[in-house]
Amino acid sequence: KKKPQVGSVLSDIMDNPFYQSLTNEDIQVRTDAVKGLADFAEQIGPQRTLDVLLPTLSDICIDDEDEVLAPLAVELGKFLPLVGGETHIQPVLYLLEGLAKSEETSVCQKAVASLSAIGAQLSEGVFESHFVSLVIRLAESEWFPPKVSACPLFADALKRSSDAKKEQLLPLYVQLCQDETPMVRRAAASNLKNIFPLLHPDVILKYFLDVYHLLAKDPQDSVRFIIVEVAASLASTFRAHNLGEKSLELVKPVVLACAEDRSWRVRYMVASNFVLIANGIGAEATQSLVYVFVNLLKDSEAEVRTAASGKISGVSALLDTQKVISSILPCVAGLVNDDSQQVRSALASDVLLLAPIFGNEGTSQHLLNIFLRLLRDDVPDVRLNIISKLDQVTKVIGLDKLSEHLIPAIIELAEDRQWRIRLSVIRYIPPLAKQLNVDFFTEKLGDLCFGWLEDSVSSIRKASVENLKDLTAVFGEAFAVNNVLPKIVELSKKTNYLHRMTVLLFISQVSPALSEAALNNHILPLALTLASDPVANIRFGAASALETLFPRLSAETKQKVVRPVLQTLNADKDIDVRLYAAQALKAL
Amino acid sequence: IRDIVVPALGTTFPMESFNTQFEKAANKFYAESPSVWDFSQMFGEEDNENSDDDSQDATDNYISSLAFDPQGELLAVGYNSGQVVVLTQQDDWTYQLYSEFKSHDSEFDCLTSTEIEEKINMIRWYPFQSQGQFLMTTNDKTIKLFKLWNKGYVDDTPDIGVKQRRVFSGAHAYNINSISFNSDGETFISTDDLRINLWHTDVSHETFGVVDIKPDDMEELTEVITCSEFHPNDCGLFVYATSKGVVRLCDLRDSALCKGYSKTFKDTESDIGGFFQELVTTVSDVKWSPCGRFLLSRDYLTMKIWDPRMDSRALRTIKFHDHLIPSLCDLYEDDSIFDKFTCSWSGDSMRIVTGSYNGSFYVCDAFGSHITQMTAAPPSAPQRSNNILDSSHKVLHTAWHPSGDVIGLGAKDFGFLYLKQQDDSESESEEEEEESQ
Repeated sequence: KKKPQVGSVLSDIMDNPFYQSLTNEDIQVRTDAVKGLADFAEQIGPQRTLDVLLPTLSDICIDDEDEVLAPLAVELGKFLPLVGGETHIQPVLYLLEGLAKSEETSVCQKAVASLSAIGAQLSEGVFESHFVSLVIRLAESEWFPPKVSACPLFADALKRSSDAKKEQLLPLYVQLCQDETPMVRRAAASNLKNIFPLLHPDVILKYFLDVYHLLAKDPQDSVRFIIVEVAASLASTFRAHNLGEKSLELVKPVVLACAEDRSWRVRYMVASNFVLIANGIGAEATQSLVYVFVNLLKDSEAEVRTAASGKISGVSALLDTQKVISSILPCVAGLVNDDSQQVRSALASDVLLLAPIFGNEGTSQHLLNIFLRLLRDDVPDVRLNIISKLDQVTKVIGLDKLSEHLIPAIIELAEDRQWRIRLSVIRYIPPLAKQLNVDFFTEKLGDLCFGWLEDSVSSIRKASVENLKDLTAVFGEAFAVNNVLPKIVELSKKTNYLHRMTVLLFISQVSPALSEAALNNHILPLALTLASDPVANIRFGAASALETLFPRLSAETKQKVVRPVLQTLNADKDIDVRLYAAQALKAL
Repeated sequence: IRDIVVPALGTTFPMESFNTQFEKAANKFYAESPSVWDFSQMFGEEDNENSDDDSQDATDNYISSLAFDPQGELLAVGYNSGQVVVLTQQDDWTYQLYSEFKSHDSEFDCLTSTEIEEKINMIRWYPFQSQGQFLMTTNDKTIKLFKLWNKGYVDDTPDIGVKQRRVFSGAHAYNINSISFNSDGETFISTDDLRINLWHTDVSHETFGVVDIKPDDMEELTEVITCSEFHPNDCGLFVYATSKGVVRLCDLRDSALCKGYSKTFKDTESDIGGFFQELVTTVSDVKWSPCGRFLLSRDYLTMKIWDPRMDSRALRTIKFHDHLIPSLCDLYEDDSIFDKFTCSWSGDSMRIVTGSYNGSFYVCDAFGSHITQMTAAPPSAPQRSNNILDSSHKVLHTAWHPSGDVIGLGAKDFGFLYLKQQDDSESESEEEEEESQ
C-alpha cells in the first residue's frame, strides 16, 4: 500500500492528493482512499485528525454510497489512539453512531463492531458517559435500523455496567424484545444468548421471563426459530449457577413447542441445535427429550431430517448405549434408505462417529450393517462421506470386517465420472493404507493407484503422485522401489508427453522420501533419459527436476554425470530449455 | 386464528361470526357514507407530436404500475419506459412530484436473442418505515431495490436522493409478473410464469425456488402463474393465481419446496364466456385484504371475494362486466381479452376498486352489494363516447391509499386521483379554502 505523503501545515492537508481522493467523484477511488484512512490519520497526527479529517468524514457520512461507508466504519474502529485517546473520542463515536443508524445491514454491522472494539478500550467514566449513553440513544430511536444496531451493543454495555446502570438498561432491552417490527425482535432475541451469561439467574427471571415466553410464541417464524438458541443459552447459564431443575422447567416446554412447530424452519433449528440444548440441560435431562429428537429424525421435511441426522453421534454421546440402541438406532436404520440424498449424506458423515461410543462388539453387532448399506449407496457423496470418516470405525473394529465391501466401493468411486469424486477418494487412500499390509494393499488397490497416474484430468495425476509419496512414507522404500518404480519407468516410455510430465512430477515429489542409493540407481537415470526427450517441455522439466536432486547427489556425480547433460541442454535449440538449464547450471 | 380488529369501525369481531358481522358492518358503513368520489387531480402529459411521429414513443409514456407506500404519503408510478415517478402527498390530499428516476433500461439477452423490455411490471414498497423509503421495482427479468431519502432542503423544497441498493437478477427463465414483500421484513418472493423464488433482501446472489409448476415436458403445459402475493401479516402464507382461474394458497412452513399447496380456490359454479371461458377466467390480479381475512381475485368479467378458510366456493362473485359478454368475440379479435386489470382493497378492507374500459372504474363494498361506476376523466373533459368497449381508454391499474380514501388510477399515459367526498360540512370548508386560495 502506498503511504500517503503529508505536508506540515493545515492547508497542505487540503492539497494532499490522498485527502482529495476522499471526495473524488469515482466511487472506487473513494473506497480505496477510505481504506487507508487509519494510516493517513496516524501520519497527520491527532490534532489535525480532529480538526480537519473528522469534519470531512462527517460530510462523507451524510450521503455516500454503502461501498464507501462500510470500510469507513471499519477504519473508524482504529481511531481511538489516532485522535489522542479517549478524551477526544466523542466525534469518532458520533460518526459511528450515524453509521450504525444506516439502513444498510453491512454498514451497520461494521459500525457496531467498531463501536464495540472502541468501547472495550474506554475507561469506566468515559465508557458510561459516552458509550452507554450512545447505546441508549440508539435503542430509543424512532426507526428500526438503529434499534437493530443497539441490540448487539447491549452485551458490551451490560458487561461493564454497575447494577444500578443495569437496572436502567435491562428494561430498555426488554422493550426491544417486544418491538413492533420483526427486525428488531429478531436482533434482540438473537443477542439474548450473549446477554444471559452476563446476568445472574434472578435478574434474568425478573426481566426476561415474560419476554422469553412471548418470543417463543411470536407470530413470525423468523423470531421463533431464534428462541431455540436462546433456550440453550438460558439452560447453560442456569446450570452454571447450579439451577439445573429451574432451567429444565424453562427450557423444556419451549423446546417441545418448537420441535412440534408448524414451521419446518423452527423444527430445523431445534434439530441443528439439539446438541447445544442437550449440553445446556445436561445428560440426565436429555434422556427425557430423546423422543423429541427421534421425532425430528422422522420429520416430514427433508431439511429437518438432514439437520437431525448430522447430530446423531453428538446426541448419542450424552445417552447410555442401551437407550441409543432402543430408540435412535431404529430410526437410523430407516434413514439409511431415506428418499433424500442430502439426508443420507448427512447421516453417512455422522453415523461412523457412533463407533467409538459403541465399542468393538457394539459396532460389529449394530452398526456394521448400516455402514455397509451406506457404502453401497447409489450417490457417490454418501459413499465418500463414509470413507472419509472410516478411521473412526477402523480404530474400533479394525478393517477386516469392512474390507470385503470397502474395496469394491473404493474401486467404484475411483472410477467415478466426476473427477472431484476421484480426487476425494485419492485423498483417503494413505490413511486407509496405514491399516493394511503392503501385500494386501498392492493386490487390491495397487492397480488403482497406478491407474490414476494416467488419468485424463491433470489434478488427478498430480494428486496420484502425491498419493504415491504418502504411500512411500507409509510402506517404506522397498514398496517404492519394487512396486512403484517399474510403473514409473513404464510411464516414462509412453508416447503421450503428458505421462512423461507425470514422471517428472514424481521425481521432484517422491525423491526426498527415498534413500540416496535408490536415488542414484533409479531416479537419476530416469531424469537423465528425459533430458534428451524430443519434447521441449519435458527437457526443461528434466532440467528443473535435476536441480531439485542436487542436494542429495554427491559432488562427483554432479560434476561428472549431471553437468554434461545440463551443458547439452544449455545449448538446446529451444529458448525455454536453455533458460532452465542455465538456472540449473548456476545452482550447480 | 385471532379476533379481528377493524380499526375503521373501532370494533373487534368475534372469530365465529366474523363474515356475517363484517358484511353487516360493511353494508352499514357504505349506507351511512355514500360512495361519492370527486376528481382530485390528473398527472401525465399527452405528447401528441411524438405520438404522431412514432407510435412506440406513445406507449412509452403508459403507466404500467401504481403503488402507495405503507403510510400513504408517497405514490410511486411506474412507466413502460422504465421510468419511476414518485409523488408526495400535500396537506390538501393532492400529490406533487417528489422524485423521478430511471429504474430499468432495455437490455438484450444474448443467450436467447430476445429484447428485455424496460417496462416496470410491478412496484412494491418495503412494508416497514424507516428514515429512508425503500421501493422495489421489476421488469421482465430484473428486480431492483431503491432507497429514497431526504438529503435536506434547498429553498424549502426537499432534495431527494435516490440510490439503487441491490439488483436481483438472473433467477428467472420466464417473465416476472409480480413481486411481494413478506411481513418478516427481510424476505420477498418474485414470480414468473412457472416459478416462484424466495429471496432475502440483503442477499442478491442466491434465491430459493419455492414453487415450480414447470412440467417435465413443456408440451404438457396447461397453465401459467399470473400473479402472487404474500399474506399481509402471516409470514408463512402466500397465494398465487394461474391462467386457469385458480388461486392457490401455499404455506412456507409446511416444507422447503411448496410442491403441493394448502388450499386451492376455483370457481366451479359460474359458467360464462362459452368458447372464451378459459381466457376470461384467467386471474389477472389477486390481493389479500389488508386485514388478512379475505382474498380478492380479478378475472376478465368478475371480481371474486374468497374466505381462505372456505375453499369450496367464492364468498361473493361480483359481476360488473356482464355487458362485455355479447362482445367477447370482438374483444378477442383486437386482443383486448388479454388485458390484465388489477384490483385493490381499501385500507379498512371494506371496499375494493377495479378498472374497466372507456375510462370506467368500479368501487364497491367488499361484498359486492353496492357497486358504483365512475369515469376517470377531468371534470372539464368532453363527455366520452358511449362505447362501453372503448379500449383506447382503459383503466388497467388501480391503487388505494392505505389509510385514507384516495384512489389512484392508471389509464394509458394518464394517472388519476379520486377523493371520496367528505361529509357536507367538511367539503364546504374545503371549498371555502380553495376559494380563498
